[in-house]
Amino acid sequence: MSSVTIEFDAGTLLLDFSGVPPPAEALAFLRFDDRVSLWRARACDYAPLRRVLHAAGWEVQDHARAYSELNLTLRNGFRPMAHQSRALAAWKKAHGRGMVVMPTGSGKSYLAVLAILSAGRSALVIAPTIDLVQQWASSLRKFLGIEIGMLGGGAREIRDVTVSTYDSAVIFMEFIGAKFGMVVFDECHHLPGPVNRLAASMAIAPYRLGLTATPEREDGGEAVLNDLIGPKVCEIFIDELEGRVLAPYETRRVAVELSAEELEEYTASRRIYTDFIRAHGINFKERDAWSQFIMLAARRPGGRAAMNAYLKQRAIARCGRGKLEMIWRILIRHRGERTILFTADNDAAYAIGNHFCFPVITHKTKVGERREFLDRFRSGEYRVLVTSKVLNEGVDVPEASVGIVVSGSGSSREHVQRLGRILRASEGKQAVLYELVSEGTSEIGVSERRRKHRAYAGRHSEEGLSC
Amino acid sequence: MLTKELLRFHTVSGRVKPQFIDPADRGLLAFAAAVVRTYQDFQGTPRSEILETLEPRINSQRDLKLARGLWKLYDDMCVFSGDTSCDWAAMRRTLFSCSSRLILSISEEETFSDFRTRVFAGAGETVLPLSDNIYADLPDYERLAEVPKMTPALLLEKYNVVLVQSLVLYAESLELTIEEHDGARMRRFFKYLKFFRLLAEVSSSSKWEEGTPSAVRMKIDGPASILDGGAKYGLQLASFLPALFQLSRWKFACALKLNGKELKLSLDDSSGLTYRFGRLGIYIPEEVRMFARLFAERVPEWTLSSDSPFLKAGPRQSFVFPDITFTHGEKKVYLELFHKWHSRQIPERLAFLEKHPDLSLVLGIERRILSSNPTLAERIESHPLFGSRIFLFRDFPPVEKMRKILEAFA
Repeated sequence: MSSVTIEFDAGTLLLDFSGVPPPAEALAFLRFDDRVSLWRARACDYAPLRRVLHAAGWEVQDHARAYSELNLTLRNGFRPMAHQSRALAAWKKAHGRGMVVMPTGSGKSYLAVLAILSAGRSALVIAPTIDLVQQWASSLRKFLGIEIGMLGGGAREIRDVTVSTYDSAVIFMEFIGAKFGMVVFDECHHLPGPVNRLAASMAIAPYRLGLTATPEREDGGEAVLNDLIGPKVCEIFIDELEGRVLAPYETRRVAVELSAEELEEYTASRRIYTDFIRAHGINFKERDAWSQFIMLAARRPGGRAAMNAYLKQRAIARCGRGKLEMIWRILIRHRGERTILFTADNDAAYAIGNHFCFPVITHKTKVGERREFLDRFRSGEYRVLVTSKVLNEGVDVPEASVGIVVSGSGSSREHVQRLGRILRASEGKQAVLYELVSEGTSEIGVSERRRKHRAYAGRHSEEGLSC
Repeated sequence: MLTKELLRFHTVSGRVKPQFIDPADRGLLAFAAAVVRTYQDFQGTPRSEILETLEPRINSQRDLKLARGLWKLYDDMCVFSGDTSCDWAAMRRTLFSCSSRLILSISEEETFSDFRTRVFAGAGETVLPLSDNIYADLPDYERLAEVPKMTPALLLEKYNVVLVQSLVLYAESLELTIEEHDGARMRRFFKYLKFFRLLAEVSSSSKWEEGTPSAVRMKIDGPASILDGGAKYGLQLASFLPALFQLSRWKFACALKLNGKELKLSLDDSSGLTYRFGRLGIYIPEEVRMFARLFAERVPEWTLSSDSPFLKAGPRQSFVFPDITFTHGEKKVYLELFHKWHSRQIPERLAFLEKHPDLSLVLGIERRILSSNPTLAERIESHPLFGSRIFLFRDFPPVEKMRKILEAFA
């Protein structure tokens, strides 16, 4: 019987066929590496390669696999809900490789715990932010009753079950990519980026579970997800779970008038900016239009003024006096309810935080204080939280019932994620997501774009709250 | 490094021409001097104030991108630290507890300005430092604690190096031709290659001999480059460049994927790029330091040096870089140490040693490697020179074992 040695090498596999040509079936996965005179393969092709070599009758000396089998039991568990059982069965049927699309608040973490138990292999959970990593660690500790390793935010501890940010996973995967038999990719729509995908391609894990509430991508990233995680095996929609698993909700768009002074300033700034882009033929339907604008703004006469005008009109539309007044009216209306305010940028978040004396969480917030703000918000000690984008995803704040989108992008994914933050069900809860839009500004079009999603169909109301 | 929007280059027929600056340009020297002086004068000042002071000067420069690039370069080398004069987090805790309590009782008539006044009044005097800005300890307000020792001329010189490094961030691989007669520099070059976990495919070389090759052509990239390309190793390649710039003769070419375009960049030593902004020192592992100390005490008849020549061991990727040279009169013995992270080269080295028994080379192999690879363990332990020229070690090489091996050479 022919023999081959497989070794994990810096996020790839090295295969030594001892000078004999590899079997034809394996060639699709292999490239001969002249630099080391051995065959090389992607680490993520470990499982299919092993299968192909086995089927071709080769004896495999496997020095790559460094993951262990785990015999974990569920602690503090509960009977999975019907949609969780459905998703788990679909993932198992796909041989433990695939992506599950479920709304925020519908128990994705518990599904992952069940999948880890089912795979019975050392597991790595990768999430986009340090808040989510901490939340995962706490959840896994609760359900598995074991110490959880952590990578990211200064922590570098590897255990049988470890959680990591995408950034840390990319950095460390060339060293740890053979240590886990299962990888869970939380918010896996982040994976297809050219850097993040390394977290998946440099790992040998045969079992892979992708979790997301918003799989939509505009760059063809689905093929990457399919290659690195597996196909979409199950999709559950928000409206399927509303009223049972998720709180009933409504969305309200509130038109905000700019003051006469703001409107004048907005119009003047907007004109300087649009005149510049028109004069230089910049078309924002083209992909690199923004880079072009930045470049021309730095080089051409009038460019600096155009850039300043752009920033000015954007700041007025995003967080003008009218919006601050409107936030105040909404807070009075929902006095006592746990409320999250979302902004498009940090400056607006800190401006609101300073105006109202509210805690603000952005990527600049130190880890300890960020945790403290979230804990106090969950416990009810803090009633209002302001954030830019860091709480868009995943972070569990079940008690929040009111969301106010002060400003945002045109991305429907971002908008659905923000809605997801207030949907976790509790007794008698009715969630409301407000969207503040400055009248007569480009925000109207941005708002139209982000609402193009099934989650908003038929539950939209326009409101003209008076200030 | 410079961010993408600060890169300055022209493209001519798909070839990138970096816009280098003249380090002797009087106008630029004056600007660099202003940046350096401002930072030196503003030690202890918040970052935002320094930027505010510099902004008019930066904006008055004809080439704004260059001005911002030079400023960023210098700012990145400075050390900032937060204001520790008061406990900002504790003050915020007091303030937010108060605002959360009061928000439950707000009325229709109250304005948010009134509310803010009421919150500060309710939270007490201890939170007064927050009245201007609740988040005054953010990075933007951090204070300058340390400035680099760098002259304006050096800052301009460094800009050129960093400009090339910042372009190479978008490269997939580097094609190099190097010529160097100084063995120490060449060794440093190859050690850097190893340090950044890059691989070299040597396509041709001339006049090789034990010691120093005169010219080498090679392609440098990372392990996974042949599988999926991309600029995955861009940062490693960029970080590696200073080791190239300190050689006597060099040229390199690379393909860049930048702003959605496929571009080419090639440069050689006539560009005047050098690296003299800090030590390009060679990392000496702790176990080697410890071994050297003990060895000097216990085996004084041999002298030990980490300044070893390198040996060519085969047609590809095959350079022997001994970690230590032992000298006793005219006799020189070389020791190469293997750890788990570069154990892949061991089989090749075992074969090399068998083929060149006349070469005074000794191999030290970390014991841990054997436990995870039984095949390799068997190959090592059955090697004819195991015990006499090949030995195992746990944390650092055993001094007594080394003494015995050296005695056989003497």
